[in-house]
Amino acid sequence: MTNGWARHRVGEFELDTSWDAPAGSVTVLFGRSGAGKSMTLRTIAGLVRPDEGRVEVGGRVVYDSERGEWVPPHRRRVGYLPQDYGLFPHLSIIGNVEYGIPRRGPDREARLSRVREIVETLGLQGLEDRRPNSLSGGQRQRTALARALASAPDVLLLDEPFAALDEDLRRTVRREIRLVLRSSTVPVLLVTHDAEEALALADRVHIIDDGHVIASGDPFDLIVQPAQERIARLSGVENLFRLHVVSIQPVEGTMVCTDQTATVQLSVPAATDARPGDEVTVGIRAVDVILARDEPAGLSARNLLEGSVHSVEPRAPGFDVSLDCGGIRIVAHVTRVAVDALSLRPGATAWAVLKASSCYVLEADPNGN
Amino acid sequence: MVTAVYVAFIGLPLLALVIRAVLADGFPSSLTTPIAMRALRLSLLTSIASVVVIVLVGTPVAYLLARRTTRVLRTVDLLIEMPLVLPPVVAGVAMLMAFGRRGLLGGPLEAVGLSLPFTTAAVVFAQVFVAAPFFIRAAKIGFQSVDTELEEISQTLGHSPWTTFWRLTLPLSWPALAGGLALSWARALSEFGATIMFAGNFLDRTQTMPLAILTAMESDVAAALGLGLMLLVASAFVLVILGLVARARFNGPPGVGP
Repeated sequence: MTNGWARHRVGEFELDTSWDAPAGSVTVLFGRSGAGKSMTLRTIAGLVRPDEGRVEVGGRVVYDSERGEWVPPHRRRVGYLPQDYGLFPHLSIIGNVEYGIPRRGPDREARLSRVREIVETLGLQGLEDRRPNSLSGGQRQRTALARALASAPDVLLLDEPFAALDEDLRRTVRREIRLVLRSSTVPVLLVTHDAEEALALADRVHIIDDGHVIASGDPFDLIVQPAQERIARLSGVENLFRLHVVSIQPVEGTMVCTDQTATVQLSVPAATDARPGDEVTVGIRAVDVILARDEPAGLSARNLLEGSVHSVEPRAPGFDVSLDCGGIRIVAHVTRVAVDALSLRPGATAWAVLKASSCYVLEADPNGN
Repeated sequence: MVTAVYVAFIGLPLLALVIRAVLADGFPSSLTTPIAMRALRLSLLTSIASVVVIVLVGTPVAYLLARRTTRVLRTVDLLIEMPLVLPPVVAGVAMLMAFGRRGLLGGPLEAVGLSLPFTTAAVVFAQVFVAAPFFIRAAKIGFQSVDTELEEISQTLGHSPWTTFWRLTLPLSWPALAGGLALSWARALSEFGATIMFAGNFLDRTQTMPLAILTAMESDVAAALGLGLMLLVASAFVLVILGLVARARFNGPPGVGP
């Protein structure tokens, strides 16, 4: 098994995490920067020695504060990839990958054939003699991964592996890396603050906030339909409204809610325990909001809100349009074509269309805010 | 204009030394007078011994200072740089007070049959004392330029801190170390004040080239000029090394580049 827990205090910050990384799967540590994700990885690698804890790598105990056990990083058999990859500038690509193979082990011929094998797996043929500073971001990342795999690690620790790549490249590289990771049986622990990345790569996810693991489980359940407001904020649900329940429609399975100024009414799925007068938090992703220039008619969507455009800001792959609708501000994510076609600019009038079923009601945060 | 005057100010004495040395009676045999040869031999021997000691002791010290900063180490850092600003004569007197026959450690040293002052070992002591900071300072900066993250990665790849130093840190920081080495060798070779105080001026034992020049000026100016010329050439050689090293640093470690 590769699992453990750690408690560590650095100044004001307190880390109190636990994790497990089953073989043959990708476990994502998800949370905003500064939450303690990287520190958790470094704890596993032995680069941080926590005040208290127990760390197991591939079935071996490498740290146990209670029994005073400590295995230094070079005997832990972990493949660690920091954000900027940390390639050795004075070595060629071959040299970098070969660096990961223990010298004491096989003879040079065997080592080199292993290097060639890994270089091929990661599609680095033809770049063998190049230096890291002459490679593209994606090639650099694959070299670093090749080097880590060459050391035959019991666990692969990837810290924001795509952060240093530009937006276009990120999705392509991610697809490639996912294939490599899936084809190996080495458990992978991957740190990211990007919800899309977590969804694309994770078999399981641990959500870390402010040094603590606040939820663990299926990435889709936790990130796409976050049950807690705290997680919804982390996973980038752009619209979160605090509303009051006005009435329940048991037949339709919906309830009508209103904001504090009572200028907006929203139909949302009924929460089982909600009663009129209760305060609830309702979330909807910006990509699920449709915009229209004129009042739409004949739609199945239950919520049509008229508003004025507050701002239009680029966010890949399109634009975030925020709309002031009475007492609430709704963010919709639309393409450039739509921005032009609807003449969306600050002050313009537009209608927001929200399907009731795209809205969801969040549980009250068990840990408070 | 100011530059031209300054260049003349520096260049003229050097040129004068070369011209006078070459035109002196008996050149080039003035380069190989017994006094010059014996001083040269001693200078090479002691300066090389000093540099070896400086590298062996200075490297771990520089590495520690580059990687850790505590209040104690900051004080150590200052102490190490002291010889850079201390007049060498004062260094010599201080070493006498510490290791001399009446010095703080004189008694204990004598008890085990060691008497340091006025020996060749004392020359090395004096040279190490004044020259080590040049190497340690350069090596510290060199080590600081190596990202600790790279060292961490090397360790996660199965290399002990020791192997990591040899296979990663050293190859990445060698230009700085080589530069420091050249500077400290030049400083050891030219050492005068501390040596004459602590080691004296004895032929074959402690009379290094700078001391021999002083002695020869009274009796055989041609020999003094010959020695001066040799030291001048050695200094020029160090400058060339520093130039090469600076270029290596500018281009990154050897062989790096597309």
